[in-house]
Amino acid sequence: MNDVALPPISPALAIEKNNRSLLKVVMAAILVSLLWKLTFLIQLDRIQQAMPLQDPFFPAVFRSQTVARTTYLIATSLSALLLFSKSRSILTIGSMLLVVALFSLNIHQASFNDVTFLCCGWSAAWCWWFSTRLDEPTESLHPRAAWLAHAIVSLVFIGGAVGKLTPEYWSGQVLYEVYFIDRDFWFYNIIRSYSTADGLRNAATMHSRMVIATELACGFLWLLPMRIASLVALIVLLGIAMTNNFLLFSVITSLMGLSIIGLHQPKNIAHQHHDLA
Amino acid sequence: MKRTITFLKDCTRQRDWSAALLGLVVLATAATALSILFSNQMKVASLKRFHLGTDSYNVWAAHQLVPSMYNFDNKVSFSNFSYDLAVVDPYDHTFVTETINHFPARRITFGNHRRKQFGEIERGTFRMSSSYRGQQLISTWKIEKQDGVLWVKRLDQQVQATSDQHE
Repeated sequence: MNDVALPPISPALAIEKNNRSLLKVVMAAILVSLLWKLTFLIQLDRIQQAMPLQDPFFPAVFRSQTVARTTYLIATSLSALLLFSKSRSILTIGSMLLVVALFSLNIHQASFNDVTFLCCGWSAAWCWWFSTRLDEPTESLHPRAAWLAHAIVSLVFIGGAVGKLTPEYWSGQVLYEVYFIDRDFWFYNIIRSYSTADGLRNAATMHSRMVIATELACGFLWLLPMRIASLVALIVLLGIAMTNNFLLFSVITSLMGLSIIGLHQPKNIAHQHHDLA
Repeated sequence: MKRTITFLKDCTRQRDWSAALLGLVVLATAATALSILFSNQMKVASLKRFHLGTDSYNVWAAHQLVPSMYNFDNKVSFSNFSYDLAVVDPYDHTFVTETINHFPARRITFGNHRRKQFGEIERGTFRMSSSYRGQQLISTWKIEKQDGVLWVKRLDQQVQATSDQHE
């Protein structure tokens, strides 16, 4: 064992590096989420510029298109720049600013309805917390990180499921009208091409009930074993975007980043280093 | 449940109060989301949130933390004519109606329909209804152009009990 060279970095630095890589998985997912609909957001910005609409419900600052543009730019730049940062204080302050920027977009006239910013905001809140714990050994930090990540993903599913517990969703009528009648997307096009009118309506009912059941089940990811919870979340999130609308990747990617955390298998870096020494 | 207990124990052992706080905020937000199942007040507050009809913007902003994807049965209708609260003229060729997955108010505030809606006639009447377990909210807006800007004006907002209360 004496002939083995020491690793080039100390255990403390190795721990921090390992934790930083987990943080950056979620950061990268937030960046992808924010950039996914960039062309669509630019298009909306141009429309608002050409045909401005103001709703006095929002305070002037949260109606301003300049504020929306700047905040989006800050959020996107922060999530990109933080990917290259090694400084704990920069990561902590940057994540905190990211939370503020994303929740600001969540209450702005131009973006309040886009769930992308809500999901990214919650994911950034996780990043903010995690960035304050980068020096803690990964094997003790990781279970907490995964539990919080699963709790946030569960929250998003619970929020979706509870609002669907209505006769209109249970009967499938809402999804029938929103998607099944005329949504031009491969999944619904296939169902339409193989169904009669009655069959299509029944398919909407079955699909709607499956959605409610799946979302309710995913509201309890935090109770499942870590890796199973992550795999279930990833499969369901991927399924949502693949079968409904590719633009939904802007909503689910940050949640997928959180879900990946539970798949990580931490190594005892300090212990390994001691053995090698 | 084992993971949750471990989480709580680890928060104490590692003195990680920020993790405990984040967990608490998630729990409180989940409780707010679930409260619409039991409380009529929260039901109406959530419907008003979707119509940008909450009495206070600050309360609405705090409510925005609660995820609400594809919630409620939301229907919108729009016409370029100014009906205010009157019944729509059946020969109105600009009248459109649609079911919307969430935040029906976005049909006006979000830009993706604006060229079509206000391209020729720059005014209109917008109605939206959202229903959830025995409660329905119907809101009527008027959109008018002043000094080159389309302005939203709220005309009416009504909460109604519906028959599916015990379904």
